[in-house]
Amino acid sequence: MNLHAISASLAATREGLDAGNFALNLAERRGRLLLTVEAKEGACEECLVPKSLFLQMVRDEIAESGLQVDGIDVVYPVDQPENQG
Amino acid sequence: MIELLDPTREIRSGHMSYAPRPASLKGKRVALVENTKYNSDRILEMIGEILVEEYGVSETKLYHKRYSSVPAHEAIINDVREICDFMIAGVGDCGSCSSGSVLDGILLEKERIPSASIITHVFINTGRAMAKQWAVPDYKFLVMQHPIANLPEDELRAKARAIVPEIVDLLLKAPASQTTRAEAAE
Repeated sequence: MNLHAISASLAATREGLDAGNFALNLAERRGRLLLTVEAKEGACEECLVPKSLFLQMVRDEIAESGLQVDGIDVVYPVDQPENQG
Repeated sequence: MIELLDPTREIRSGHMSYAPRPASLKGKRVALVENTKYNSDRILEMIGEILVEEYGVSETKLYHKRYSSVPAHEAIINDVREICDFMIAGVGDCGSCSSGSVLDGILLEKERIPSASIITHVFINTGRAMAKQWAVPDYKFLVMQHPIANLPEDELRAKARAIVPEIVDLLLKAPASQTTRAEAAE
């Protein structure tokens, strides 16, 4: 999996996240792409789109760049253990 | 407690025709549906003032959504359908509010109200994704430069002035009607 190329394909999504004070981190996990959205200081968590919409956005951007991934997992800040009650 | 509202849906196929367009805005009533984000109400009001002063719109009515990330609630939809001729939604200045404003436009077009949704440029892919989930991947929405939330009055007015011709064009000339088949959402 070419994470560098995938990262480049997600420039538009990253720009939108950055506007809401989020960072996007990429990793490969068991052959799948793991996208972790990280909240920075002042992040507007209600500004995040539903995960299904986010998945569609990133899937489209990756496909439009001619890249292929077998599966995508998304972790939002609310999914992080420290944010779960 | 945080209430989670998800305006997305799984779509396999769908159809949307744009609402029929009148020949002009003269004497018409325009709904302005603001999405709660800072300055959205102000810039929509400015747009409304220009439409009244320069395009003959008879009146505008400002509606306030309860949440930015979901479509306008039923009371707004019903009121717009009953007393307004056009609808302008926005301004999508974040991810979820952009998808919400695009959805407002789609839903009002389905109610036969010519509509224009406005978002900012960094959320174009968000707007497209929402349109795709509602089976209208080519749905036309309008884009202004991000951001608007921190802009002073004069810069807001300049943005309003700049986008009004595009709004008028979209409200009076429907893009080609769409019969689309969207990809299934996971």
